[in-house]
Amino acid sequence: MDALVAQLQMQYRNYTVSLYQQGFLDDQFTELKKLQDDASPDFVAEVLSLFFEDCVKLIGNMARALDQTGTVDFSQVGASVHQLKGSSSSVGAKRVKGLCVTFKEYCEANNYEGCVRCLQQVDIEYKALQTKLQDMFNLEKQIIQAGGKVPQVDIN
Amino acid sequence: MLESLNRKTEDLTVDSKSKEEEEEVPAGQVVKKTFKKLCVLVVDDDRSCRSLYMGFIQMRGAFPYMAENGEEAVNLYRDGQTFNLILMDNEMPVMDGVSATKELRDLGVTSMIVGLTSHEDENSVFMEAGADHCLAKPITFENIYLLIEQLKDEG
Repeated sequence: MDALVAQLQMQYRNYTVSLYQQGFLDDQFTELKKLQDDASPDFVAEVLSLFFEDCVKLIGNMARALDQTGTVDFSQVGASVHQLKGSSSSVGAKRVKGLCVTFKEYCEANNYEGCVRCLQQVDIEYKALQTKLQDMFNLEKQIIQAGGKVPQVDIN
Repeated sequence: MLESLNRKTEDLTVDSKSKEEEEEVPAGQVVKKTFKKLCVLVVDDDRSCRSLYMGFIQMRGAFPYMAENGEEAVNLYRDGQTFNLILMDNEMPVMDGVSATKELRDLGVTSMIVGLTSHEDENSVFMEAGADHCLAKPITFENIYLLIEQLKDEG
């Protein structure tokens, strides 16, 4: 059992580090993890669940705004992008945040093709992050079920 | 960033603990205190941001309240609620944070108001409206912790 726990913990550490190295997460996610304790063991998952729900809503808003026949209201698109940038920044979703920065520039330049490209990329990236984090949470569950503790991962 | 609130860890003591409970604080760590009866209003239209800040506040034993925009925050005060600290985002629907800050000050509200900013140029506008401090997003929780620390020191 100890060997299994140790193996799972190693796998978890390596996987978490890879998420930072590949740019999916940044230091703000580390801040988020600090808030999780025995009293609130699902805190991170709950906050991220809200974030991903908001991704769906905001990306839907952007898509509808860009799909207008006639003149596109880029300020409306930009408002949703700004919101997504803020929330992605707060949870440490580095790639999504980075795309939002570029997306906002295209909105300000009234660049329709640029906006559409960014919208597609943002959609791909938030879904990729969602999958990666679900895998991470699954590893946490496996560690706990095996009788171990989820290790603190030192990114630096 | 609020350089004035950064303190050396050696300067922080846990007043509420007995001698037996005091622990030596390793360098580089801020002592985590539990804040009782501190009421903090989080004003942000983003749910995940609100959850983050409220989670921290709750974990430290303070009472979090939330508003989704500036108008809700102002209405809370008009209804007789008071708070020790207001964390105020700026870009929100209905009423933005700068407008809400100005309106709260015009109402005579003396609570500490901290503007949460996305751009540097929001800082001066927030301060002119009456904010006490500004913090650049994303907020670190040490920043919030140190703000609350300052509030307790001011009694």
